Amino acid sequence: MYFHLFKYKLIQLFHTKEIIVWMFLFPIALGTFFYMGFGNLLKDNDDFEPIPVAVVETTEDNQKDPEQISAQILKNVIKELSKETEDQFFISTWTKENKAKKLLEKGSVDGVIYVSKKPKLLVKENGLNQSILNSFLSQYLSQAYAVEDIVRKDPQKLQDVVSGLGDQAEYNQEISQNQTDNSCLIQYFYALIAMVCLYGSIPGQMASILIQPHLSAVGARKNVAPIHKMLVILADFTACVLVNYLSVLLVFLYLIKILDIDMGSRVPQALLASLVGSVIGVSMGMFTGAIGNWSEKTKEGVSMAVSMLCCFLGGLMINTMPNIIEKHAPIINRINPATLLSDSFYSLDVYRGYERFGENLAVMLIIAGVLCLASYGMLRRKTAK
Amino acid sequence: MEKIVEINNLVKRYKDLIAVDHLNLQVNEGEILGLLGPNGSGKTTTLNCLMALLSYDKGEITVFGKPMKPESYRQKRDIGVVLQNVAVFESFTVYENIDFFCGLYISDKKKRREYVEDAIRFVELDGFRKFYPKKLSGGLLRRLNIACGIAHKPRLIILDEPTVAVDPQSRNKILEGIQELNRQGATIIYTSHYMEEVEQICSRIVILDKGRNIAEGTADQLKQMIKNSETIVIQVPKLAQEHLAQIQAMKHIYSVDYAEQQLMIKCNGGDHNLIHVMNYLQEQEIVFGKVYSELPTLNDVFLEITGKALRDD
Repeated sequence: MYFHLFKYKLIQLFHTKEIIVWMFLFPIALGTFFYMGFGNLLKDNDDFEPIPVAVVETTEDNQKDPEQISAQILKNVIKELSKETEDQFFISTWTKENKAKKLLEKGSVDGVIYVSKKPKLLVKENGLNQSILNSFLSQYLSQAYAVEDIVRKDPQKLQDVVSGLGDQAEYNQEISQNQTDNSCLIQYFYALIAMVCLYGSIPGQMASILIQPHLSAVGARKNVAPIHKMLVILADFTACVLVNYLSVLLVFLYLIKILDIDMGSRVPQALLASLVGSVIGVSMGMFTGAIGNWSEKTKEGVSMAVSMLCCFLGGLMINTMPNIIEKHAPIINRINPATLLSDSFYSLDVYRGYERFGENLAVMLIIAGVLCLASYGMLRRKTAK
Repeated sequence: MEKIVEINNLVKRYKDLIAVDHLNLQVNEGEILGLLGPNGSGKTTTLNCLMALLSYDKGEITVFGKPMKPESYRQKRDIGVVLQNVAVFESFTVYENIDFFCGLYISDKKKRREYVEDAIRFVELDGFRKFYPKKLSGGLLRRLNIACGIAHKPRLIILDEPTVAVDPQSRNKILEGIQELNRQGATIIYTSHYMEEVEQICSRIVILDKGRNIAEGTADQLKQMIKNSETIVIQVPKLAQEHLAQIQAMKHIYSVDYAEQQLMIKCNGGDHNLIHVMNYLQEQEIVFGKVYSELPTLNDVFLEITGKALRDD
């Protein structure tokens, strides 16, 4: 009997337009919009392409003239950065000024660097590469002035200064606690996953309504059949969780395989959290569908309002909201499914251990259990009008 | 004859409104019992209590000799229900709908397949088995609704106004189908506010008003309960007052009314009343036109008992 109910619930869910749109198409579309909106920010630094640049040399090889020396250093730096290695920064073309300008005009290079006593940069338009070139030359000039100053005052230290120029001190180091390439942008995609999990309330509520004799004719027909209500609820619940979880898996697959987004190194754990998220999403829907003797439309409105409120308070719309809640009413953060779910994803990204992650999952399962029992308690008492 | 359903002293209240008022009712095996009454008379509430869809304030209901409760699964297995509202899933095909509801009663797949095929043949939806409900006409949809309720071959079938908003052709098919189910051995409870339907198919009729059983019996028995047994209407261009008085004085005639060249005579029993009146008119050389005689309807029964009509339309 269970499998009969389960099979037909699946057929019904996959034939329901609202389910297909809200649980399968909408998250994919939203994920695509996120991807398009974030653009290059999502791309890893490994994808950096060397900047094509023309170099016009107007210096003489005179080691005594401090200005010539700094130009010589610039020349060597450009040559060094143009070597075909993993860290190649420039694709440099050493040429005369006329040809360099023609290359710039044609767009073959993003800029022309004049290696001279007073180095300068010529660009045709604004852009990311042009900004990088400008930044590079500014940094060079500030260091060149320092070199010139030192050479004038104490020429003996020249060698030390030149050898020390390549050293860049990093005073801050980004350390990932869980040794993953964490990106705050990924949290947006995990917020999307959390939202899809909570969309489980849609099929959950539909199932709840179709069990009640006063809200639907099929509900009445189910109630006159010789089957235990618990069995109907169990079959409907598991089918709803399965469909919701399939939508989560589809979104994961789409983000990772199609949009090529790095979702971190703890995807299996995130999938486990999503499964618990689906369970709590469907439980919420069943509960809001079962509570009260309101009409179907009213219940839909209540369910939507509850979901939106949970998402809002959970920071799925404004990411600082959980911090505000934590200050003023921390209990809400402890019981809000949206907060618990997004915090599970966050803790996976930030903490090395699983303590907080496990706590969140346990609380979510307890809440889901309470909601399911309360739903059953209410649904078994529902009668026809 | 086994009593399939027994309702004793049933009371159902909605706050101050008494929907079912100390109702007593029996359904015997093999009969088609018609529950007739206007909207709001308590028909559907009574059925909901009977199906344990609704709790009640007082009284007792037994089905197949045992008290009927929400968890009376053994009794429920032998009950088929066709609800007033079409109760099918829009997302299932005709076949899937019947299979789903049949599957709530029959676990054995092979047996279920046979039963579903039988139901499809019975309601003549053979050519529509892969259709979704929204593609079906109103009549076909009602037939699907019936198939979903009877596919598991129940001993007791409850039909709550199954012909509402159905075209005459489909209505006749449905009524024929119900009679066929009865011939096959099912006991049927049929509610309607269409008295013609009830009169056509029901072996016994219970008339409900304000949640009470106000009369019951066969259609003929019910009609005999009222004073009027025949209404004769004759078109008469001119009629003297003395003739009116003489007609009024004839045996079995209790009411004579003449207005707008139309003579209406009401009789209470007796045979050949029309012939007697016609003979009198001919003897008196009174010119007359159209003549017709009407037997009382269940509406007349209801009208006489309650002082109001069964239907407003």
